[in-house]
Amino acid sequence: MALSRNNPLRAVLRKPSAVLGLTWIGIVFIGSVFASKLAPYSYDAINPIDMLQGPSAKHWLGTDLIGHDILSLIMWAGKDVFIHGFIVVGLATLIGLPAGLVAGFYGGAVDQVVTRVGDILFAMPGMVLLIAIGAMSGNNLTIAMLALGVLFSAGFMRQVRAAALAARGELYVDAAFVSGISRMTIIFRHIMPNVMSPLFIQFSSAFGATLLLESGLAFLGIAPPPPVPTWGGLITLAQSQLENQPWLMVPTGGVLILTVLSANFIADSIQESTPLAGLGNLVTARTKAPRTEEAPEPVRTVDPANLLTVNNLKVGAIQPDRSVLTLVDGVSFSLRRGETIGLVGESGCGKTLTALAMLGLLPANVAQVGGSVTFDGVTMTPETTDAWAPMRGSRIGYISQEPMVALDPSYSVLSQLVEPLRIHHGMDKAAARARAFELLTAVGIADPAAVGARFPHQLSGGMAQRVAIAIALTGEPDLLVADEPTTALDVTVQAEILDLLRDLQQRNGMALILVTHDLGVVADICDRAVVMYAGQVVEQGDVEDLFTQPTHPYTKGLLESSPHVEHVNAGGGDDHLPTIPGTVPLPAGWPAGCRFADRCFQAEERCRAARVPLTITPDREVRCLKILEGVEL
Amino acid sequence: MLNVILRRLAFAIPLLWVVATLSFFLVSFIPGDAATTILGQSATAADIARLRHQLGLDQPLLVQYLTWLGHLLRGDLGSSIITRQTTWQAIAPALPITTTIAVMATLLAFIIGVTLGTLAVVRGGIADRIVRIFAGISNAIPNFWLAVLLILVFSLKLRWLPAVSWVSFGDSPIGWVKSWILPVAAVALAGAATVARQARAALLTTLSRDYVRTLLAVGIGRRSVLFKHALRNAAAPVLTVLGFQFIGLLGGSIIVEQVFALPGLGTLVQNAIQAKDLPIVQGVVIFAAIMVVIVNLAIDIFYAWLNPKVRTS
Amino acid sequence: MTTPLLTIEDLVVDFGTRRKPFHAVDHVDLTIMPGETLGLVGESGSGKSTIGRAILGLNPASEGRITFDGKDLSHLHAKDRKDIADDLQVVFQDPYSSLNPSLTVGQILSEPLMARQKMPVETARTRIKELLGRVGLPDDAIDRFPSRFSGGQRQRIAIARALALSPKLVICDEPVSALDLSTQAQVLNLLSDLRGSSNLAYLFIAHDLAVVKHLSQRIVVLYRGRIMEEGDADEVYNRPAHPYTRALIAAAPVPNVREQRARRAERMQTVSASSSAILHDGHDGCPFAGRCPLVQPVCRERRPAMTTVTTAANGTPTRVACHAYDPASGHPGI
Repeated sequence: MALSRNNPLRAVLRKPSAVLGLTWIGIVFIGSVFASKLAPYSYDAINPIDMLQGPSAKHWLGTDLIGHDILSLIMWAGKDVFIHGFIVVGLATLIGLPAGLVAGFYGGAVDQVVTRVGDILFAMPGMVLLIAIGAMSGNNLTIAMLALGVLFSAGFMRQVRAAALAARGELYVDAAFVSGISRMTIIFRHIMPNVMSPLFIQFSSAFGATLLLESGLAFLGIAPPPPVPTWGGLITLAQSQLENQPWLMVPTGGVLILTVLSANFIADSIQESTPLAGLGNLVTARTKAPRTEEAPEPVRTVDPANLLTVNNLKVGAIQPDRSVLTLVDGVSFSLRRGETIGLVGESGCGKTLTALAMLGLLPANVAQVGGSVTFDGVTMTPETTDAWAPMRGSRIGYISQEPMVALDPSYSVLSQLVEPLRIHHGMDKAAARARAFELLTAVGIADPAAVGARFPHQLSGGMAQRVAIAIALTGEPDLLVADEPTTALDVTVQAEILDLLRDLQQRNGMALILVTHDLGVVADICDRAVVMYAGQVVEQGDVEDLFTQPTHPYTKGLLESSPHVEHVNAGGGDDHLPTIPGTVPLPAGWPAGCRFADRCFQAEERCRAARVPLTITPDREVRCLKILEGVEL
Repeated sequence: MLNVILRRLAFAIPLLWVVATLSFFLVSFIPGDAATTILGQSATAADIARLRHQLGLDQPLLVQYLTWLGHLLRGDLGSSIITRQTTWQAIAPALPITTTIAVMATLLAFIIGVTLGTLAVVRGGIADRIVRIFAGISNAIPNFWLAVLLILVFSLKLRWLPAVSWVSFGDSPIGWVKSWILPVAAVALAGAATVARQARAALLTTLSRDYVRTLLAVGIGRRSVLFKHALRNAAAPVLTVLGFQFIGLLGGSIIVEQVFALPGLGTLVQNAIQAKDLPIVQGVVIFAAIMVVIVNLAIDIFYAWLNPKVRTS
Repeated sequence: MTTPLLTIEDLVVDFGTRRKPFHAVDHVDLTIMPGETLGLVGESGSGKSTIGRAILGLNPASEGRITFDGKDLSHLHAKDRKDIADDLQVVFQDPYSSLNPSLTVGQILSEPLMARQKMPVETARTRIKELLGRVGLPDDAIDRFPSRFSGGQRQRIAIARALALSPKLVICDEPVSALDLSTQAQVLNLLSDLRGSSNLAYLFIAHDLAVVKHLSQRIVVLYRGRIMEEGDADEVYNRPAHPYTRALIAAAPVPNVREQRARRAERMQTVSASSSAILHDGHDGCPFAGRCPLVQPVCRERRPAMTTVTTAANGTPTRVACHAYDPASGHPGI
């Protein structure tokens, strides 16, 4: 098998700290294994003249009470350290890997038994047992290490089980089943690669932990009798000479610390190579975005009659090298009070980022890098996004795509409503509770008292979205930004939520920005639509007009490829849908000219030459060279 | 909630049984005959026979085991072969010392760890780096080595704190604190490092959740989002590993108390092992397991209180 | 009369705990003829995917019988699955989870081949390149990892894997619902083309009736594990009989403002209560009773029998599980 992307060894070799750790362990390993050849002195070589010395050219790390060379002692003792490390890691793997694989893969009763046994091993008072076992077996560290291996196998088992269980849930494992692949082959081919990373983390961290425990036991005297040196025993020795030669503490502890540190470095580097999922830290991360060159778009005048004017908005991802990858490129639109506008497009077109920019809540490492958003006379530029906070909740509300994860799992529905109510209106607790129940009723919840007492995990998807809307309404915003608010819901529930939004709008005069990929949703609720493609607005206008007479080839293609549109020759189950060939280009590969050119059946070389400007008429804006030139498409 | 407690107690029974059984069969680790080993090669055959009878070694192993287990169930852990004290009497004075060090170290590790982890996330940048480097190094420092170093600095050089001696709380509260502060520090450092790393990771994960954006979008301030919402949600994964931390720190206390020559369970078990005083060794092992069970129970209750999914199930 | 390729009789799949079991699939009968495409439509919790997974042996059936190509699948042992792997394949919804990221496209596509016959490497590669061509991907895709492909392209790879052994039936479990609109149409057309070139049958599972209608000859509508309506695809879509099917169609918005306005007005007639007001009342009657505008006491008392309503021009009967159409039920009708 090729060395694939998620091979843990690759991750290790990319991190300098891990390379440093591996190097150190390598040096110590060689010095220990070949101590008989490499050590300057024998472990029993006594030199009474050089007693309790500090470091010198003759004895690099000094000497002990009877003139043993400390460096040599450390080297001679190292071999056992590695043997013990390998015993523990080996035995723990031998038990933990198969147990974890079987438990995670088969589940059911096997899993129950293995997990229970693991829990018991995990809760054992390890050190006390090790001391007792070590001492009872006549200071035999090997037996104590075997016991430690059994104890550590619980950790290996847990990690392997979790990884195997996750891999078992992957559809490619189901596909392999369907293809009649044997279970053994599935385990080796599909499950094992996923288990390697956690296993390697366990290898290195268990090795480090073993070193600490083993030297702890040796420190207590549970070790082979003198003169055979141990790392822990050397620290005992250093302790006994603490007042005479404190230097001894340095090399004896140092070698142990550095070796454990190296093992941990390796474990960490594998751990860190697994990227953190999610939005990134929105609360405390500070990404100051460099302002980039303005997109060559016409600047709109801000009409005070408009509630919102977005002017040449540019949003970019800040790359590790501080360069900016543009994701939203010069978007402009405006919104009147009480109006509903739909941001439409396929994934990767920048519609969600445009919506989040209205709130100043872009994901971590993504920022507004140009243009402005003017809301009711207040303007936000890349430099003033922080000042936007007072707008949130009270002037601009937000609901997201996944209602189940949009609510804090630790607080009841009621308290998640009460908190913002108290912030926005300075209400006391009783007033806020009363208002919260009113809001729950307003979003169509039949039994507000019962639902208020529930926690998010006790709500259905539709109910959670109603609650999320109620929360967004606490500050009585003038604008609600809804990011795919019905995509995760069933179609009958979607219809109810859209009715609710329409109803709330009519009652409160609230404006709405709706992000969606569903043209039907746009037709249902929006007054105007902004069609986005590859970070730009390609067409915008009145929905009814736009959907009956689309002009941009992309808008046309989207509408035609919808299975909901009645096509000629419909039925019989064998008609072809019109399609747009190809896929949306990735932000890094946006062409210089028309970004849709590669998928457009009318594209010509001229289309690819330079950025296509918008054709702006009172009713419609279109970004197409041919329309700019007055060609009838 | 009661459910959680009952489930945890139901789990404690097999755990205690396994530990008890292990500690019983530890005796068979002793090479050759236990009585001979205890009395030494010079003992008379009669003496050995008498001890064998006294230890019940003349009976089949299974009978010995069941008898011993029967005694254990009645709370009878046997008595010291050397001092004739009951195991209870021998353990009673040692228990508070080890318990104090281990529990204080766990608390300290939790508080310092969570504070540092939060600081790393909140401040970010350099603070984050410093915390990570501190945690990395602290994790690798053996507690007994650190204990020796602390004695060197604070007792021998600065002469601020006593190197050895245990003062009970009743005698002098300040003396009591002074007598555990160094051992607790030595034990807690690695624990604090581990907790700091976990707290940092948990908080970062929590802060990237969707609901954080919802909270900010509804106008809740960053401080409130961080301290009221994120920290509470991040506490759960940290708590789940705290029980395991306690086991590690208990082990640490047992090693470190010997550096400070404190008469805790570690010293007791060491001496008992040296003297081949088997009932005491078994008693200490069982008591350590009971402590683990109690601490885990406390953590589980706290966890259930924090987590509505557990509480409402 | 040809024999059906797949027959499902009285299928029950239970989920939940032993103390609180619930029927994810509740006594369902289905047949698929060779070369036929049957659409299976329903919302979340309707059991549509569970039926597919039960056929594939990924969820065990609690009761009932699944017969495929003359073989009883309901009690098939895991190791005997490879005997039918030639003929029964799957395309899943999520094109990310369904391809192992650590294997190359070639390795992924060789998996079904590998399970069957020992094929020389060169023969296998030729066959894989041919497969890639059929699904519209370039030859050089063979040595790339799935991460290099977009969602739509990944779904093409998954389809190629399903076709590797020239199966008789492919279970398509929401194959386009994770895809963007323009890609969705491409994949639907591809599935349609592939069917044309051989006698391939599909069980096409989706939540969107309009998508299903495009590919299917017959449609089965599910709600809470039960069949509500089945019949000819055009008939069910254009003249839905069951109140639930009507609600489902009326709820799906169409990208035409005027038509959508009409649908919205129509929708108000199709449901009597919002979904959030419905508590699952646990009766054994019709699961849609709580939201049905035609509800009568009998709807909560007895499980409706399948009743034939009409017959399409091609002879396919439309059958519904609704008391309103069953003169014997005592329901006053529509």
